[in-house]
Amino acid sequence: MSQKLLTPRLIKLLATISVCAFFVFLNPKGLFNPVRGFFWTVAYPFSKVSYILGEKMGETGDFLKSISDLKRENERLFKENINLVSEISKLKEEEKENEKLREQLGLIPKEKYALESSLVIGQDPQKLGSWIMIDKGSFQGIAADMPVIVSDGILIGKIEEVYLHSAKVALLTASSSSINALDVETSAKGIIRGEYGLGIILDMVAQNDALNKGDTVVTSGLGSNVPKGLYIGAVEEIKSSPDRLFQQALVIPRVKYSKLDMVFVIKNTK
Amino acid sequence: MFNKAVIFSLIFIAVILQSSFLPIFFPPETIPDLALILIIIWTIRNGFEKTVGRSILAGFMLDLVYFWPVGISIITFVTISFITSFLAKRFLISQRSWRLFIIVCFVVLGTLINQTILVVFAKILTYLKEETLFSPFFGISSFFKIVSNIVLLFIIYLPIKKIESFLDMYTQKAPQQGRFFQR
Repeated sequence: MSQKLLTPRLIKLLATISVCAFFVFLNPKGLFNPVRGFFWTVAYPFSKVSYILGEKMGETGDFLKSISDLKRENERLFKENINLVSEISKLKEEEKENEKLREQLGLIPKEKYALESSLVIGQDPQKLGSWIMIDKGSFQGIAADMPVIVSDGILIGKIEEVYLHSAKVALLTASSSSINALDVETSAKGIIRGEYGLGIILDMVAQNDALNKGDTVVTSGLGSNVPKGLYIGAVEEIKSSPDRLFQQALVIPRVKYSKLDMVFVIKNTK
Repeated sequence: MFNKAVIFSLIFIAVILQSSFLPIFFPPETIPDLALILIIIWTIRNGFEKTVGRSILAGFMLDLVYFWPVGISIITFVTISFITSFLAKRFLISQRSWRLFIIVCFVVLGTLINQTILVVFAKILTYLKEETLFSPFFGISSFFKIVSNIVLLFIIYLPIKKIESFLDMYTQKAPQQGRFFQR
């Protein structure tokens, strides 16, 4: 009976599972890191080409889909244009105010960063995602822990692993993410943490600090090489931590991480 | 040698497409498992013995490209290949008229097994390491993943069959050998 059960196929299956389980539980990442680095170096041009090709095809598809909406779009743009003209004058005033606020908060304007532009060539396939791959690596001077932003100075994460021509960016939503942040309106300080790919939480905010829905959350620049004043998101919901010692706030980021195509790595401030 | 190079290239391209091309068109939770579909098709055509090497290679590459602990996708693919082969021998020969439906069932079953094994490993690793190395999902989105996998099966089945036939011709093998179904 046992001879019938243990066929060579089943033995092969069990042997493969045993060896793999040994690798999975004893050394989840470390042992194969050099292999992974080599693989990404080889795969980098292919990944880049396929991602760009996909983007182009996606854009073409969107364009074809939008043709039918052109008339409606034209009317909408005409109305929007009128609104924008009036908004320009308002924004000029706000620009001055913004500069004053930046001075007061000690934030660094975007022009003062030494940025390395990078294309996204891969992303976490899991729900909402917690990492992306970019097409710049150690060869271009990228190093671990460098902050990564999108064009408007919005922080999206930090470099986690670096390969020759590519790097893995841990997004703010990743469970490993931890960045010091502050509420611009109330100056309440806390730590931004990822919620296992499900969102961002401003954690460890003292109970006597004020947090309001809609407040802007930016990096505080404390304790890491992430500069002060990078936009993270807006407060959506406030609650107490499970132990009731601190406050927590659900922060909604402005960018959709699944739609990223170009990002900038902050190498240093000029 | 030529056959092995072609198979290696196919697996490499499938892994690259799955990680860099398909995510642009599908929401994260419904990205089709191109490598998994390839393994299922190969198992149906060639059986477990001839596919186990390909399963290990595809799983290894997928673990590298997804930053998962190496071994998880290998276990998943080898298990799915084993079960598919086991069921194919019993159903595809006896139920020839239901062939297409049975192959679709294999894809549905393969997707569910894949998701289940990933969820189990994620839970165990999260418990042991107290950090989330990866976070698979198992819910209503799995239904959409099954649908996208079935669509992908219909897209790639014939091209893969043609490539296999070409490789058979190239190695001067009799095309009837080791096949579960023939026209």
